[in-house]
Amino acid sequence: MNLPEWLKVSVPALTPERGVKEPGFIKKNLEEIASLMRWMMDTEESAGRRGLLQTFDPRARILGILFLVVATAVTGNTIGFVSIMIIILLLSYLSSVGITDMVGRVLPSFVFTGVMVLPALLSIVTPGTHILTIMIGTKEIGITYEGLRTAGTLLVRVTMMVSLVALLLLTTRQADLFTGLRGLPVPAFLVTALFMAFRYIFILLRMAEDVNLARRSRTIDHGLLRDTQGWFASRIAFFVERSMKMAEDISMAMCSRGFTGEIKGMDMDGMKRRDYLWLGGTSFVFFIILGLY
Amino acid sequence: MHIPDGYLGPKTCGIFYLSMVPVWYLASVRIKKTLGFRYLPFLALASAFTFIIMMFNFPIPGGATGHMVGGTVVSIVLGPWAGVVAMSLTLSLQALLFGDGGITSLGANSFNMAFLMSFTGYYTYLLITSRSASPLRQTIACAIAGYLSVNITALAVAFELGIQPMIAHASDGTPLYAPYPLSITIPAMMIPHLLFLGPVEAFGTALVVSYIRKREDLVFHRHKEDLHLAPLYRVLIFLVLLTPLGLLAQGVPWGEWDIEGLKSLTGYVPSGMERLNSLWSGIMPDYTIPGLHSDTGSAIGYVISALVGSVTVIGLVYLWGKVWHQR
Repeated sequence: MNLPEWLKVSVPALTPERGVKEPGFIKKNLEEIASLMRWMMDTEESAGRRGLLQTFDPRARILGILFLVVATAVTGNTIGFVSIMIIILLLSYLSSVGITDMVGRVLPSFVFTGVMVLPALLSIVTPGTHILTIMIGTKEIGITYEGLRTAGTLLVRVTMMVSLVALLLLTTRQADLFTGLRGLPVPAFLVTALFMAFRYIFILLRMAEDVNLARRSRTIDHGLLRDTQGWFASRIAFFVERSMKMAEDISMAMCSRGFTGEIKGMDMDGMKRRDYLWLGGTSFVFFIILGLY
Repeated sequence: MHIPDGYLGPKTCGIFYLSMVPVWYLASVRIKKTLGFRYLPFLALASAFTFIIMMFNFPIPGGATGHMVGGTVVSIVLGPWAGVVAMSLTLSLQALLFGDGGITSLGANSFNMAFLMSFTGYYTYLLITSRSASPLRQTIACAIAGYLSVNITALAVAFELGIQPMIAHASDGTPLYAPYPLSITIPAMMIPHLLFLGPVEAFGTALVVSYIRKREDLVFHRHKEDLHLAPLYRVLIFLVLLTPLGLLAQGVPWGEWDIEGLKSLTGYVPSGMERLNSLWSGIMPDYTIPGLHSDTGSAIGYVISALVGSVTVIGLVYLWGKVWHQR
């Protein structure tokens, strides 16, 4: 294999003249890769527990949760929100989903949305009946009832929708998720491509971890910004190269095993009575909320 | 840039899903035609490296870091259609497995980051390099494409969020979804993108593509072949951009008037239409049971309508399962 020219350029050795300090982006990359790996392992561990949702067929589980997600998206009244909230809590409890796992997945969206909606509380954004008034100079700014309602509605809706998706992830093994999608009216090639992409992400993540670790172990100083940016770009080019080579190898392997471009899925068992009951229940909630919309 | 669940109303989400279905279909047909049986691993790997690009931190002055969206890099290297599918697959995985972005907003996110970004970035790059493709021109083209595409995408996101208070609100006018109007969402999205995130995307795109270009065998998408199709794509982009404008329309859609609406518009109702109007109004019109007009009756009507809906869903799923089983 011919080495590219940029790989042959020798970079002068860095010396710890300004003290040992590793570049922040390497540390962040490694932290993010580790966090992603941990996230996926935690999800698999939780999905392996015994519980109500875990007993349903993956197709029914996905479809049922989707009914509830769309119901949450549609609802605009307190009864709807409270009903779905109770359903989420019940499902979490009956499916042995730990509160820590759930909070870990919901908290980032909750905090982000919470901060994002703060200005909507104020009368300058959402005029209405003042609940609390603050004087800034000669100007009167207040928290309005309408602002509180707007912010509250969005925060509750987002938290509940994220909770439902988290519930699906925490009760479904990754392989089952793709099996479930295959059983739904999603084009087979899309599901297969998704599944393959998911697998390759982990291979590329391991590679990304290796290149970042290698860089970190050789780094004793920040170095020039130009060099670190060059390193970033060269690594992305490396990933593109590896990905395309891997795609070529895999397509040849698939061809040698008789793949002609047509995707054939494995036969799946039919759904059981409890799956239909679950679908009936969730779709009932969905239609009730749609009626109230 | 990822819009989470709950920020967009159901109508907006539905419109974007519907807008993206033909794009996904067209993209998959074109990719299958171009790559033959190799399309599957190619798309999967393209999606995986798109995920990695989005995850890597890009070093910027002052010791800070930023993330690239990477849509322009992917579309320049792989072509716009492959870019659309690779990016959509990445966004789907992020929404389904990593909780990043929403499931209901996946159509909108794909429209913004997969479709809009890929095509804007690709055709900007193509237009600038069409006459001369010197390395310097290519680098400048990548930077401009990266900057422009990320800003247009940000503008689309700002627009989608900003119209929510107008189109999805309670009876008293309280917004039910994203609460800020266009006068707030546009500056809130555009100022950081024009001043900070745009330059990061521009510089990152130029740098990454310049490194990729050093390996001639990697740039396998032949840009010149697409030149004659450019006007068609631009028209397509323009038409798709206009699609969400329908959300702003008030009142009844043209041609979907009821009898009273038609009478107020034309002054009369054609006799045939009047006769046919009462022919079929659904088993339970407006979620009510004929004859039950009290509050309790309406409530019962809602519950029974929901039950009928549920039973229909179960029946359809059962039938689908049977059909699927036989295939």
